[in-house]
Amino acid sequence: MTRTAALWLAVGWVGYALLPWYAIDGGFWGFDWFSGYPAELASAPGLLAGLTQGRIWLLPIALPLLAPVLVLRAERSDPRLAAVLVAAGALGFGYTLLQGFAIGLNGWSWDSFEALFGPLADRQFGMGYGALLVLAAFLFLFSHGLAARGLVGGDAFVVGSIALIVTLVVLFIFWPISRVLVSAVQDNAGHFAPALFLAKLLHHSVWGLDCFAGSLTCGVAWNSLVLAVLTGLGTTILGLAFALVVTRTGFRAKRTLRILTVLPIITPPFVIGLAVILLFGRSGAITTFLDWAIGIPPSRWVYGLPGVWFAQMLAFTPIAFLVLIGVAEGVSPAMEEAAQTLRADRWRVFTTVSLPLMRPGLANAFLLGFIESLADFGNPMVLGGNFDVLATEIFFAIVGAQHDQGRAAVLSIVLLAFTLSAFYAQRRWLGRRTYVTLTGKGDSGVHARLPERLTWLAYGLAVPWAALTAVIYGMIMFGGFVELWGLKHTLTLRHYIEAFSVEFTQHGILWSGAAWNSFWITLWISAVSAPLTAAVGMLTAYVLVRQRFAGKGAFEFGTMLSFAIPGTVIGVSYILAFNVPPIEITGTGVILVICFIFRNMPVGLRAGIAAMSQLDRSLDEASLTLGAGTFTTVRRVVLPLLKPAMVAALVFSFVRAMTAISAVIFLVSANYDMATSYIIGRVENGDFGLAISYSSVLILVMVVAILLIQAFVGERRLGRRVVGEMSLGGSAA
Amino acid sequence: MSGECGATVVEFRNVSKRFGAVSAVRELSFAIERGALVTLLGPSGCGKTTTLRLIAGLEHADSGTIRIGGRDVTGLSATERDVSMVFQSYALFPHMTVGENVAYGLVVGGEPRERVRAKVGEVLAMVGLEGFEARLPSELSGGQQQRVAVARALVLEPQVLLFDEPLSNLDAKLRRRVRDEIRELQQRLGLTTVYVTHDQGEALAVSDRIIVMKNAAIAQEGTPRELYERPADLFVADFIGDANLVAAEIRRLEGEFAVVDVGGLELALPHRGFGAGPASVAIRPEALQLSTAAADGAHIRGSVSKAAYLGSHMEYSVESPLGSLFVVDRSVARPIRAGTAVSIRLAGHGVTLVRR
Repeated sequence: MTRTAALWLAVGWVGYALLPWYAIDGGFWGFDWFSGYPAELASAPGLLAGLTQGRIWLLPIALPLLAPVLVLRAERSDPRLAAVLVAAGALGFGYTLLQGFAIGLNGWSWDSFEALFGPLADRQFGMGYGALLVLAAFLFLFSHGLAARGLVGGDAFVVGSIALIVTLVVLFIFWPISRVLVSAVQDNAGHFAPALFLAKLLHHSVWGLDCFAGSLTCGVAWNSLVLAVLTGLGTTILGLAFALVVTRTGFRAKRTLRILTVLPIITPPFVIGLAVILLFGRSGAITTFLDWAIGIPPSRWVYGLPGVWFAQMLAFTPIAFLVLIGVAEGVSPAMEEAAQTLRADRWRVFTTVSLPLMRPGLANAFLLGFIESLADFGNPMVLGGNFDVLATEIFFAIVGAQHDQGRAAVLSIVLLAFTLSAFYAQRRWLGRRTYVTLTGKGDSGVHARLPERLTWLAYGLAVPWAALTAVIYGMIMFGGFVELWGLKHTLTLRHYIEAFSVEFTQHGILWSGAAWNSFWITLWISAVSAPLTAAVGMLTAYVLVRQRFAGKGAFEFGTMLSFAIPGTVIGVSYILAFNVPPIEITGTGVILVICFIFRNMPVGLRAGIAAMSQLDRSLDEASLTLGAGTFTTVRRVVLPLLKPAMVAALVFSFVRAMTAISAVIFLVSANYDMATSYIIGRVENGDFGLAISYSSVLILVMVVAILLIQAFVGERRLGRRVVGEMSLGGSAA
Repeated sequence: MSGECGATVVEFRNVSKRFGAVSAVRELSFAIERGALVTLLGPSGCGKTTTLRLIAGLEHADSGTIRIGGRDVTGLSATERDVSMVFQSYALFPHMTVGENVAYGLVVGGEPRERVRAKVGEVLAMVGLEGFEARLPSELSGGQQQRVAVARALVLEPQVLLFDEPLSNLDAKLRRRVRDEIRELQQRLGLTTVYVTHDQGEALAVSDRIIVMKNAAIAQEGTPRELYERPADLFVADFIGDANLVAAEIRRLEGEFAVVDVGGLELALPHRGFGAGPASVAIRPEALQLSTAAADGAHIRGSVSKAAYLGSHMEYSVESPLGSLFVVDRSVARPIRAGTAVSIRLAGHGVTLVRR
């Protein structure tokens, strides 16, 4: 057996015989459990709980942990070794999970088992670190066995990585989603109720078309769909205007426009909605001005479709811009120059060459806007009024007066169907190349200028919109300093003091501000999840780009899938899947971290895939032929060369964790409240001042964090250094 | 074949490798002796690079066995094989200095620091790059980068050293110098070396032995001289040097020789196992001698259709009863114009019976 396999076996035994098997109430790292260890059930290791606490179903786990001990001395090429490892790993993993699912808080979880084995008096809680280590050990023993059989060139590291990623994706994406599907066809008592499912699915409140008949509102599904199409169209047109201005006109302030692309990344999604209220709400600045100047009476028009649409356009146009700028740059200037030399004028060049070549990019931008709009929770929450969309309805079905899990699940399915169709269309129709690399190699040549008419149109769209965006962000920064928006415009620090006051007492610093708790939790959770997200994303990218194995297509689709699942659906599914044993993590920080890892992994994955595809494969191979293993190769050659992609993945996952709201709002608890859900709570209470000041602090923190990560991870050291620096690197060899 | 060669270091026995539906290497068997430089030569897609990667462990055989130093390594990964490779792109780690690059294999192998430093210095001196430890690869010329790649592979003292088209990224002038350096180093250290190239000139210059590959299988193997002078078939004859393929007739066998009728000329050629009857001969372009003077003795009549001046020699296309012939003539001083009638003779060398 290889040393690594033996090590995993040892880890398995530590988990089984030494560490507490069940999750500790109040947290493992508190070490409160140490007082009762190992005699009390709550902290007993699996082996002891089986022997002395009547948890006899834990005892069979010893067998697959014993079997590999027998082949400890076997040669690597011995076929018996492979057979034992594969069998022990698979059986052990399967059995450990099975007993966890089969026996829950009320004895047997399934009636069929109760009928088979008779009633069970004992019960068990969620799995803890002991069980976690045992499962990990089984998984990697299994993959070592497969590698010994020659799978994927006999590379245990790669096989183990694939096994790990597949397990995680199944456990934290497919399993929760399947729980949603199951609970959709159950009534609230947990019985199979297909009629109820159909009734909920086809209910008037989902698909009704009353808004055409009279003043009543339409069903939520129609609302979401119409909003998504409008937002997709609007952001694509505006994004195209911006992209054309930057790439194909002589516009001066191109760099300033590019800053726009960073904004949505660092802005919590509902903040735009807040700023829109401050401008256009009943007591908003512009509303008040219009009332005073030309006598238009204040109205509630922003609360509803127009307002939500407006806010989403502001929030998501930069995303379309980001996509389309790559596409507009990607169109080879040589094509446009060829058309020009063939006597086409500017207008014809644009309409017959440039625009058709950008078509896939336009479709991509539309679909992204469409998906983002469907998934958006914050803006409809803040601005929706009576205009309900799926994302918010799901939330109210769970937390509202109705408390109808089944309805939430059904609405989730509808929403999921929409986003997955769009996602599928995007993948199927546009293929991989649509995730445009922003640094595509341009051949020399100059992009054709836009025709005159079009230039003015693009300016006319882009410049006012950019100005509006600037005003909105000015609003966000400024709004926190105003006493009471719309009524009392005296400048004050009151909101900041309320949120972030610090007192120096004799016992040290007292963080007395109301926001500190959620602020620190947010920072902590984001800081923990960012590197994990980047790691999982990079590992997946490495496996996808560099390895050949059966089922790779399905593997890739599975890992990218979570991108298309709206946050609210993830939130609901996590609540359904993880508030009962064996994985009982709702209300902890762990569930937030896990949620962020799998929500944000596609971002890291895409960055990793793009970067790794540009890395010459012979670099890995050189390292391998020089005697380094795959793990060493990844650590010493691949990762250092992927620093820019790592920075991107780290920044994205950190920042997205800080700004996420839709999934988070289901998963926060009293102990683990996040900044965004705290702010939404304040908005619902009408406390705009604090909400907006907290938001602006978040934005500033994120800017600082981005700069810090960039400085910390550093640049790749490839290029020509100046002579003075050269002597520094000499001692490293 | 180099006479002093010892035991077999690399051995392929019936090795096959497929990529999907495409056969990259089919039932390949060969052996490479200690201290020899063996070249895998062939057009692109013939399977030579796959063969090299099979030796390195970067690809794994679907069937057959591969032995290195007497040990069965068929199932072992690249990491576990005692083989080093110089890549076509050099694959120098761009984020490491020259010293770190060369030290890489030793460091990941857990050698003590002092030894690593000493060996790196030693190997860099061997390739003429003393004092370059602190440079980055991007600060070196193409030729220097190449030498770093060789040093990095040498430092591990592998049983077999592999070269994958090592000269293809160098300009033409540099190519010959680096080629000679590699050969000189290989002979000085007695390294068992496998070298992949598609350039026949390069292969002839550096090799102890050449394995010519075609369509995933071996077309012929032998010393450079054997391959040039006694090509097995038209493919080898045409790939190593140029050749005119001409129909001929074997009249009779006389001991080692066959008496062959080529367009009315009678020649005695080594029979190479062919029997009497229709046959083909490959004629090297320099074996055809043209003359404008009224000829006496055995000759073939023809007329020059194209003439090109290439500095060191002339190239002619000649129409003749044997078909269109490609001729190289060293006598640049008296060129023959296109359209001139000529008589063609065959030299005593450069004509071989070949399989069609």
